[in-house]
Amino acid sequence: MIKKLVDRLIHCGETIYQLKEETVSLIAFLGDMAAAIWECILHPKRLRWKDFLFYMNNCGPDGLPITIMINALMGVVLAYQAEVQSHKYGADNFLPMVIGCTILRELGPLMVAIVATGRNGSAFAAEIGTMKISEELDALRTMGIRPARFLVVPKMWAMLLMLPLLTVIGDCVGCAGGYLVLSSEIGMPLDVFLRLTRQGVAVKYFFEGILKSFVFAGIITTVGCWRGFRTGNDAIAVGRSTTSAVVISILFIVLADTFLAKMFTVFYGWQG
Amino acid sequence: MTDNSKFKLGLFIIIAVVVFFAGLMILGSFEQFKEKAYVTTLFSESVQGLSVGSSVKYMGVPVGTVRDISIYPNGSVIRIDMEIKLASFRGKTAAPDDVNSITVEEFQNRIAQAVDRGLRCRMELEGITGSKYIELNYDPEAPASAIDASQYAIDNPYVPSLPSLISDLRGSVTSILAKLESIDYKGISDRANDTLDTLNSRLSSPKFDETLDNANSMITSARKSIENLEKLTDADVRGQLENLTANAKVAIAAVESLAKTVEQEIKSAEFEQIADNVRAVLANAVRASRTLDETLFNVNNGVDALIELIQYIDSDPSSIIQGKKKRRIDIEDPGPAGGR
Repeated sequence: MIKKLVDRLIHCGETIYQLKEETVSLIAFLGDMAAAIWECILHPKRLRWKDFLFYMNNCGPDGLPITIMINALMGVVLAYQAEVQSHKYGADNFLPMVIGCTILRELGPLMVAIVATGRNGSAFAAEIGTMKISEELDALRTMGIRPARFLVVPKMWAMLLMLPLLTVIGDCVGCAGGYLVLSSEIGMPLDVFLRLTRQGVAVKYFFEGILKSFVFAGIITTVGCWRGFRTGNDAIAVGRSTTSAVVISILFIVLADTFLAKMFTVFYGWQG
Repeated sequence: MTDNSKFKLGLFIIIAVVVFFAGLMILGSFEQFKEKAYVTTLFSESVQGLSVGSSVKYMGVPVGTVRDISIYPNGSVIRIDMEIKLASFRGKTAAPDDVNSITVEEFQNRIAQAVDRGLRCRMELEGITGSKYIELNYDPEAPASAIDASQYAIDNPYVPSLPSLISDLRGSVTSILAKLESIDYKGISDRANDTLDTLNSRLSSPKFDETLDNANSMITSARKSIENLEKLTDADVRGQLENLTANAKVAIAAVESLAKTVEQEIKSAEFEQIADNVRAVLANAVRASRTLDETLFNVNNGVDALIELIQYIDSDPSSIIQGKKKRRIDIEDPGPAGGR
């Protein structure tokens, strides 16, 4: 009985210690990455432009089909659910506002970020983890190249540029999906839908979603690369780091979304 | 990176940028660059529910937003500055193809004219959440706000305000409560107590018991009378009524036989011949009457002549012997009697 209790206490202690180690490593990685990004801002030539374009292509156009599909379906589902409820109360005119606000402020950026986490965050972790297993990171360090500048900065810039653009397109197709439902279910004309959306959805909500997507892009790249650098040396380490990259990214994205939602609400309150 | 990938990346960026600007356009971001005008109003009541960004509607049409809410130093007047989108107002002509919005000067002139015609600001509830908006509407009958706007430096067109419906309601409720408070509940209660006491004393007095006894005895007597009446009706009165009915029948039969006899007598009489005779007699009587009239007229004339003769003889008795004198004709003095 006492031995079990002691074992559990030891396990808890180990977990806390591990958590502390991971936190310290994440903070250290953030510092290393920030220094590398700053170096590339000061010396743009040091940025690996070919890699940057490759990752832009990887993060943007390659992820476009799945982003369009997911966001359009999210708009359709949202519109269906909202229409069923609001139609009972004759509040059909509020549907474009509900769909617009929900997609532009929350669902659009969130779904694009989750798709990007699954596609790119896991890929970053797997790529760097594999390099670590094959000791390529050690080779870079041996040659005097900072792995963060070499591997992380192009990914970060590419993601920071592409994710907001994907979010813009995702927002648009999400609203289009919502419109398809309203058009087919209650026969709402396009001009009415646009006018009601314009009445109910402020431009600031559009920019709110885009700003969120910048934050989400930073989280996805940081966590993906960090988990890649933290990959172990055994055979299943890459898979484990990939999984943890996705899970931690999604967790951090949702936490950041919560924080940002509160922050924007306070900001709008100040603004009136 | 292949050329295909570069093309794909470029196309993606172009599409995303186009969608971005289309989104901005749809959401009305370019409204920021359109011309706007400002209107100011003053309220002397709480503007709870109204905030910067609240809607401003002109006869129900959304035309702008509240841009600023500030309190004047006296602490009792609140200034509301409203931003009005001029695109909501058409140009001078009402032609369908004239969609040009008005200029700021034209808008200010229109607002001034509209205020003269009774345009007023009023806070209205926007929904069930308690948020409010400002409604610009014509209400020349309603009393304007008691704020003297000339005391405040207002550089925008000023639209007088009206108390909100909630304020009106609050005023009415306050007035009702004041009236309710003015009611002398204690006095009413005291009088009611006095009345109850009086009633109680009357009820407990011996006279009331006596009255009750009298009433009971009266009811008993009435009941007995009714019973007697019922008995009377049942026996004696019925026999008397039967006798009376039989006598009445006999009397009616006698009257009927008399009537028949009279009828027969009337029928047997020669009323037509009698009538002709009577008519002839009457005609003779009429004629006799006329003759009598003429005779009387002649007699009357004769009597007049006789009276005249007597008067003449009386005035001149010798005329009986000498006869009637001839009249002398006097030319110079014809006189009123000269004609005779």
